Amino acid sequence: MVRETYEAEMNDLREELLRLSRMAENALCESVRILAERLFKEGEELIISDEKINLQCHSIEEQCLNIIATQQPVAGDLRFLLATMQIAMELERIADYAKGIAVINSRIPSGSHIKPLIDIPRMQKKAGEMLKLSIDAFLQRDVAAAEKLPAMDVEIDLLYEQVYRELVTHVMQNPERIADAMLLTYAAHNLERVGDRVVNICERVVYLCTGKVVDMS
Amino acid sequence: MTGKTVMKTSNFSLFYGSFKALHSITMDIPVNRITAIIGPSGCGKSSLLRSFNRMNDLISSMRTEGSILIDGKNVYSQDVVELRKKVGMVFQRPNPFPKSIFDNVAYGPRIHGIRDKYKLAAIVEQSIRDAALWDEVKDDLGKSAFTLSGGQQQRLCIARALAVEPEVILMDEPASALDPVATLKIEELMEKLKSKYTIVVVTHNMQQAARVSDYTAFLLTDSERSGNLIEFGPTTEMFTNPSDTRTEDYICGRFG
Repeated sequence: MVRETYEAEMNDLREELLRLSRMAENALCESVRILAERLFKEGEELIISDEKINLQCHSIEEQCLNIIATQQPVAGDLRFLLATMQIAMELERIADYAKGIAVINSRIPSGSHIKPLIDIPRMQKKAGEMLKLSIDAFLQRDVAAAEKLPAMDVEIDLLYEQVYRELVTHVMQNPERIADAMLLTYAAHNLERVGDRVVNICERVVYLCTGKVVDMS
Repeated sequence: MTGKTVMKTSNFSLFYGSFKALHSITMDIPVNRITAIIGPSGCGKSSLLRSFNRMNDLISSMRTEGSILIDGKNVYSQDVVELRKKVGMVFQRPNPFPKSIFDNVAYGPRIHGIRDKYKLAAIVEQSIRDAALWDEVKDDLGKSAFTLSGGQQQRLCIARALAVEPEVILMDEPASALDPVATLKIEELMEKLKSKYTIVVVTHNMQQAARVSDYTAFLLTDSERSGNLIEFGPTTEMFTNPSDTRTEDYICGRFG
């Protein structure tokens, strides 16, 4: 016997979580493009569209609650629902970081940055890839894949330290642009936090597959 | 399993003629805990429950292998009346005797030789109190048990089982014929009773097993249609992180 309605609801939830992760990943990618290319109009659009991501997150939470209330899931299914709710929140926060980068862009006066952006786009690329792989690991219940990802977070942390050092050096050379440099540091910090959020997602993958709560940070 | 056990089942197999209904079951029933037996229809859970107080003895072709010990003594090598004093049973449908409420509860103690009416009255009151029914029937003890509602009748049957001071109470789907409110009363009662008694309950309702039991045993038939014990452990573990995929599939409703 297969509980068809239940299975359909669970499959639908997987699709919706995947959709939310793509929305967050796109927002992140777009935010760094906006920052690098100084796109103010697109920045405003990204800030407004963050509301759609919030709504998607709330909708997933509601779907989880409905399934718990009406289908009484247990064991792996229950862990999947709890983990999905937590991951949805992580994704919503990741999108907030992207929105934050667009806000930072709006605060830096138009014109070229204090230095060419090289490592910040690298951080975004790595964080985006990490995010995609973590969601794949979750949906495929692949613990081994999830366990590899925190190493990528270390690479993001190293890039962040490099961005910070370089900006400090540039500020010493151009003290009048200290505010711009600080804002770029905040942008890099946002990307560094994305890596941490993805590590949280990896911890949820381990929880889903083994029932154990681990600290991978 | 840690802690004291009241019954020890070792490599226990049950046969009805040439059909092996239970295959080599080994499990210990922990004392003062509620143990639930779950599994799909025909997996042998009622057969196992009925083996604990030899309710299967009436089937002439029945035979067993292995052992079930209560307090260290094999249930199949002791006097069945004495065994059923130690191991009481409550059935799926309330089955009060066509007697008064008082006489239903006094029936067991009378069989076991208690004649003193004051002593009987004390036992009846304590048993009905323990079954959480006293306040509802204390003024009507002389009335027929059939005047009670279904849920009250089931609690009366529990009081009747308690009156002979058993160590273990077996419950075979005790709430399946009751409405949700009466079901909750029985579940609350089970929780209270476990401080004094050990309870083993068979249930089709997995949420009920999850709600009321401390330990859960999952039975499943093999290719020969014999019931096998697949997993036995703390209920919280069974319902959050079972170790066998067959348990997971069953409790998640993927078969059965």
